[in-house]
Amino acid sequence: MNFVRPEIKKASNNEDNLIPLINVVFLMLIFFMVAGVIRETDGTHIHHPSSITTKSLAKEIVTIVVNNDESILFDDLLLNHESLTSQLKQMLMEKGNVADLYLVLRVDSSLQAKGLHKVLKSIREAGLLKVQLLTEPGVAA
Amino acid sequence: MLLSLSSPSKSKAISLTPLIDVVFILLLFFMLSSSFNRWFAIDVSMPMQAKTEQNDSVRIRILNSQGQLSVNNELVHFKDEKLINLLQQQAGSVVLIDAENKVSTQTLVSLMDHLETQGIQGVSLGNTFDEPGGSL
Repeated sequence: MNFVRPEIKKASNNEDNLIPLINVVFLMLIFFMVAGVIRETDGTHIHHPSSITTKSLAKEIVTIVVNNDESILFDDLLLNHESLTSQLKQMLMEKGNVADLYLVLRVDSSLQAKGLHKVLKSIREAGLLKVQLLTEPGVAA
Repeated sequence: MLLSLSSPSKSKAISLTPLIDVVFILLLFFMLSSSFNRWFAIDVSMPMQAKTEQNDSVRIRILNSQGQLSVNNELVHFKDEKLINLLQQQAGSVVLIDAENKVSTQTLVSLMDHLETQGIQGVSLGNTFDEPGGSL
């Protein structure tokens, strides 16, 4: 039997063939690193209301998520309207300086006005007056 | 003893395969975790109860999610020029948006957008109301 040893030259040729692939993969990697924004996932499926506004979010924010069934998610806790007020009050006590603190509402676009109003009322009862509504760019229907 | 060691003088080229593995893993991570939708915000001003009772405020009542409004007991659609004319007649006063209980947040946001592009200042959210005829 006659075994033929693979030539070293041939092996390096194989790796040479991989270089265009690596180039493409690197380019894709750089694209996703630069163009994408890494956000915390919270397991919610919310369709934010679309708006033509281009105002960016405030710097110092606390986020409240409101699903279209009026369930409220704040600080990884599922709350109702009464407990939201007490949780917010507690958070304000702990933070101390809240002059620049904005409360950002991530609200589902199909949430009914009644639900939104109740959440806003709870926020006002806690003593927070700076509220922003999160939107996504798009042409509103 | 016969040891067949390859001669150390022959330096072997570093294999590219582990590098590619790592790069692929990084690529997967960034592809899965990055999102491309940008987020913006609308300021929601919440007037104090006393302010909502002021006389110089204009109340816009949203009757349904199709954008039917009632301003000073006049029925208008929010794309009508009549709405802007009505509001411009009372420039300088606070505009309060009341919404029927079942009106969607999207409708509220669209109306606030519309008022802002038409240059109406001082828009706040008011109350909600229940209108038996008002539906989605």
